[in-house]
Order: sequence, then C-alpha cells, then structure tokens
Amino acid sequence: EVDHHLLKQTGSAELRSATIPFDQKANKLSRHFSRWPLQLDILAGDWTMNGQLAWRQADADWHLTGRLDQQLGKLAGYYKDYAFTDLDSTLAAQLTAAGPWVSVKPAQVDIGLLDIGLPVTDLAARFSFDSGSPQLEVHRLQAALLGGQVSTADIVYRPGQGDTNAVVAIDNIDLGELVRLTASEDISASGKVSGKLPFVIGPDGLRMEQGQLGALQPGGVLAYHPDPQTLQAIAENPTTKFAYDVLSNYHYSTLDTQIRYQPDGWMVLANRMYGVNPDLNNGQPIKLNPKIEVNALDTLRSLRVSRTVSDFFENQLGNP
Amino acid sequence: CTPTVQVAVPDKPIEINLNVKIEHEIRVKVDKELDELFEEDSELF
Amino acid sequence: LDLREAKAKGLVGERNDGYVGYVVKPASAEVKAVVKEVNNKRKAKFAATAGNNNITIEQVAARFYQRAVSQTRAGHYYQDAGGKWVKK
Repeated sequence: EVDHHLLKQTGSAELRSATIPFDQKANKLSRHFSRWPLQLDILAGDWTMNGQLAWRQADADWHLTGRLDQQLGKLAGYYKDYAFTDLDSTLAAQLTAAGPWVSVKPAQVDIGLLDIGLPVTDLAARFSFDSGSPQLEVHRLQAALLGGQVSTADIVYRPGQGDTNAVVAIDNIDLGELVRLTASEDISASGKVSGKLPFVIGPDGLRMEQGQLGALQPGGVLAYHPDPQTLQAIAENPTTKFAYDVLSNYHYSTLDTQIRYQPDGWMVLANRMYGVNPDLNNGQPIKLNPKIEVNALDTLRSLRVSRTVSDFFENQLGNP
Repeated sequence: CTPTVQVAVPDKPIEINLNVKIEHEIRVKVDKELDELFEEDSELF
Repeated sequence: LDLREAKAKGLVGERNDGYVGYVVKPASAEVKAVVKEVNNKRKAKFAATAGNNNITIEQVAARFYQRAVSQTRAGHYYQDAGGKWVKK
C-alpha cells in the first residue's frame, strides 16, 4: 500500500507480512522470475517480510528511510553445489537517512544441515552489518562437524581494509569420521582432536600460519592396508616398507599437528606422533612424523561432485 | 618360580618421517576449470 | 540476442557432445551467429582444459555436457544421449 503526496513530495509504502511459500515444483524460487540468473534455488520453507519505507525530497535529492523485517522459515535449497535444509533466519534492518542499511538488532541464521561436501549440522550464527562502512560483525558462529564442534566469535570484517583475524576453535573432532569420509577405504583411524585455527581473512582470501591441533587422551589407532599393487610398490623400498609396516597398526598416545593453509586451498599438516606398533620390535616406541600436503577445497569439491544436488534433496525432502 | 624372560625393549624410540602429498583425481581439476563456463556472467551456458 | 535468450525462446539447446545445437531448424542468421561464437569459445576452453590435465577435448566436452544437463534450467532444451531434444 503506497501513498505519495505530490505537493509535499513525501510518501511512504507499507509491506505487511507478505509470505511466500516455496516447494519443489511450481513454487521453486527460480520459477518466480522469468530470467533467474543465479545458480541458487529455494525448494521448501517460507519467506515472510514486513517493511515500511518513507521518502521525502529535500533540496533536489530524495531521502529514503525505512525498516525491513524478514523471517525465513524452514528453508531448503542450494547454491551451486552446496545444499542446505532447515534454514531459519530473522533479520531486521533499518535504512537510515544517511543511506546505508544497518541491522537493527543482531541478525540470526540457523541451519539444520549444510552440505559443503562434509555434513555441517546445527549451524547457529549471530551477526550484525552496516552496508555503509561496509562492515560485517560475526558475534558468534558455531556448528557441529565430524562428531565435534567448530566455533568462532567476535569477528569484525571490513572488506578492503586490511586483514581480519578469525580464530576458529575445534573441539572433539573424530579422526575416524574425518578419515572415513575423506580418505580411501585403505586407511582407518580413531581418536579425537581439539585445537585452535587462527585464520586471517585477507584481500586474496583465507590463510593461516600456525594452526594447532592435538589429540585428546588416550590417543588412538592408525591402520593403513594398501591395495596389493601399492603394497608391491612399497615393498621395493626397504625404508618406506618399514614405515608402512608401522602404519599397518600404529597405536599413538600423543599427536600434535601444526597446520598452514593458503587461499588456494593447499594445506600442510605437520604431524608429530608418539606411539607403538605392538606387532613390531616387541613394542619399541616409535615417533611417527607424517607431513601431509592436501588441497582442502579440492577435497570438499570432490565430495560434492560425487553426489548431485538432486539426490541430496531426494533423501532430504523426499522426491518432488 | 617360573623363569621370566626379560626382553630388553630398546628404549630409544625409532623416528620415522613421512611426506604424503594427496593429489585429487583429474575430474576435480577439470571441474574447477569448467566452473567459469557456468558462472552467472558467462555467456557460454 | 544472446545465448540465454535463444535458449529461453527454445531455439537452441545443449547438444550431447558439449556444444550448442539448433532445436528449431532452419535457424535464423542471428541464431547461427550466436551458436557459432559460443561453440568456438567453448572449444577453445575445452582444449585448454584438456591440455592442462592431459586428457582429450572430447573427455572435457563430455564432462561439460554432464554438468550442462543437470544445470539446464526448467523450460530449456538439452539433447539426451540418443540425440533427442528434451525440454526440462
């Protein structure tokens, strides 16, 4: 409902609880627009919006002020090959006379399941933003991942103004789950790790120098049983053969990992382990230092590539 | 008493350094290069 | 006229070899120009990708087709493996 007063050149518009329901057929978000550019689609849930907008003209330019309250309920959808379900969010923003949209109170987003290749569940984020400066402040963000917790807090991100620190705390991540989901079947692991990952958000993306993880007591077991050809290749070189003999049943009591991460996704994990292989040298202690170089972004992508978004929704929402 | 056999366990631990580089199958690399064709602003899809 | 408009009008679609093909024949000169330009650029991209990963252009094009089918928008056309035009 809009009214505009020509003479005084003022006016206002009222948007009252317009609720848009989504579903997998006719009411997909992409169906609401003829030329839907984004590879984003919303297949379930609803979007409620209330807003007031007022405008007046003063010395030849228009001053716009307003407020927008937005409610997203149980949204499910995907952006490119990332998929999510049970997304709830409340967001209240004010358009101040000075121009930028500023969040009135911290906005909140909760996501039941976010599939980035690995399942991230119970994600809860509180943030506020000011599109003028521009600034995004993440008060708190936490999520469950691989049987453990990931969390970060008090990040003030100002694009284009130097680096921003974002220390991510890791708690009780299950190594067995990580290895099961990301590595080949030849290797299995057990044990839980916790630590701190001091990420830095810079102009060319995310990086980290001294990430630090450590295994919780009592440690765990690594077991690597390569397929026959690999085993055959390993057997030719005595030193590597011994290393792989150790790895066939390595019980570690301590594990400390230093992590470096680069914006292109390449990550170096310098692990130092202390343990024993009960079947070797009557249990002589063995320090094992595997340095692992892996591209985290490629790993996640290869996990996403192996499932299509439509299969994801078939088992999450039932077929359309 | 029964004789117990003491096997001297060498206390000095063996140290093994291992370098492992995990390369991703080609499909991931090919997909990464094809991504730009599917970007919103590409006129090639 | 750009590729997306031509697709939206059902004039062209994603062929099963990774290139753009004519759904409606004979195609107008304008549509032919768009298809020719897009296919040349795609071929160059496939060749570069093939070189970087030492596989053949056809393998790259085949992977592109797989993704093109799943990302083809509702109402646009793609060719099934048998060569029949299918409207999503």
